[in-house]
Amino acid sequence: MALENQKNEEGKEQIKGPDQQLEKGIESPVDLEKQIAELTAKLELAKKQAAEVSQTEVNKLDKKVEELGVANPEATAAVKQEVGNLEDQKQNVIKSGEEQISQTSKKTTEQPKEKIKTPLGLTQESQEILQNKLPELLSAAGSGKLNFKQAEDLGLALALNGDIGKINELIMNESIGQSERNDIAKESLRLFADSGHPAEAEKLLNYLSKQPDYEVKPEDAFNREKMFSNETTRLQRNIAQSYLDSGDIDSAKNVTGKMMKGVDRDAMGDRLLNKYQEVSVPENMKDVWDDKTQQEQKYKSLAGPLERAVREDDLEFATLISNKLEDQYKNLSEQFQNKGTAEISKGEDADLTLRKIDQLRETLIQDLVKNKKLDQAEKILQSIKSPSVDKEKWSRYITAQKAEVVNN
Amino acid sequence: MNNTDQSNSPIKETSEKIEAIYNETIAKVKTLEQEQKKVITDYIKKLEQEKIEQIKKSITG
Repeated sequence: MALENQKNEEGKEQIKGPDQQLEKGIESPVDLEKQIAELTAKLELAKKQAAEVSQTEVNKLDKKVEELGVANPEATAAVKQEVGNLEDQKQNVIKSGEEQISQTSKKTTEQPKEKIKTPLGLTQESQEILQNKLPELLSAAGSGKLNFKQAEDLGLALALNGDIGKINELIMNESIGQSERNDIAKESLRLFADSGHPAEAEKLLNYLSKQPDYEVKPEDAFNREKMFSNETTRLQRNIAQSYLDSGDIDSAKNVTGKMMKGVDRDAMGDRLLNKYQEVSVPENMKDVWDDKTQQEQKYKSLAGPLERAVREDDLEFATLISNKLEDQYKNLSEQFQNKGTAEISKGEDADLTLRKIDQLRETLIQDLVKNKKLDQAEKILQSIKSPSVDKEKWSRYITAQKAEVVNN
Repeated sequence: MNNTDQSNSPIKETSEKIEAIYNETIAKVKTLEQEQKKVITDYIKKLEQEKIEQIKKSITG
């Protein structure tokens, strides 16, 4: 009996299904697409049917004229013309209906894209909600009764307004708990970093890096030997990229230098070097160089950044360039091999460039040794190709320094 | 999501708009079709009237 009841219930469910579907109506984009396709097809059919109806009416008229035998060709032609005009109107009405349907459906399908593209990565709806909550959140902050969720929302809302001044004011306000201040900074940092506001994001990242109780501990990012949050790397990468996009290579380089070693940092390093090379090559020359000359020029163009990095004592970046130079030197060497006499002058020119760069590398080694970065210094030394650098002398010196470090 | 939310969803709204456009289009086409038929019917009536007049004349004449 119980089983029978169950079967009956199932049967009811099966019968109820389609009705429920009808009641449910169109709720998914797929349903909507189906509906549009169906109605468009119906309108297409309506076009044909309309034309057929007109033709049937005209045939009926011709037949009747013939039956009656009343000859009034001008009047008959005028009636046919009027029927034809009405047929044109029908076709235009259907065409307009099709266009309206197409435009209405387009608007709907575009809506989600707009939501994703809204500034700072928030949907329009979320932004409005946050903006409406702002006075209440500021009031809570003012009374020192801000919970963590409110703190996050406040950070988002202020970042949406680009109000870095207010954010700064709040995170310096000691009447608000440190944890809540961190939440304000954390959320606004995320928004600024992900939306092309690198300067604001960098300030907040620096602030958070100084907070010992900040859970992500971005300060670990500055210690390249420690594991640290991927989120911080991601934010740093976005900040650096935004700087790079805006043409501020130096700021991009500074942020990249603070990133944890890894694929993200390497990728940013490559982008930085490419940008340096881009700006080093005169625009009007780009089109006329052949591939080989471009390689050579690219190689030369790294000398400037390397020189500056060494001069500014930026060893990390200088090493990065130096490694890049080595790769490019290999390419260049391969290209000069097996070349005829016509290429000699270019080869000599490249040799001069190489010697200049190797001199810079020597200076770099000197700096690295002075800073006790002996492994790095050794690596750079190995990459030097020019015979003008006394590699033996440097090698002995580095070995001696290493021994000294071990003894100490 | 409750039923109220569903009825206000953009997809449902669009679906309703599209259906309304379709119904309106078909209604306009039907009206024009009626007009076409009326033009033809009126003209046929006129021709029939003329025919009747012709017959009357031929009988009385």
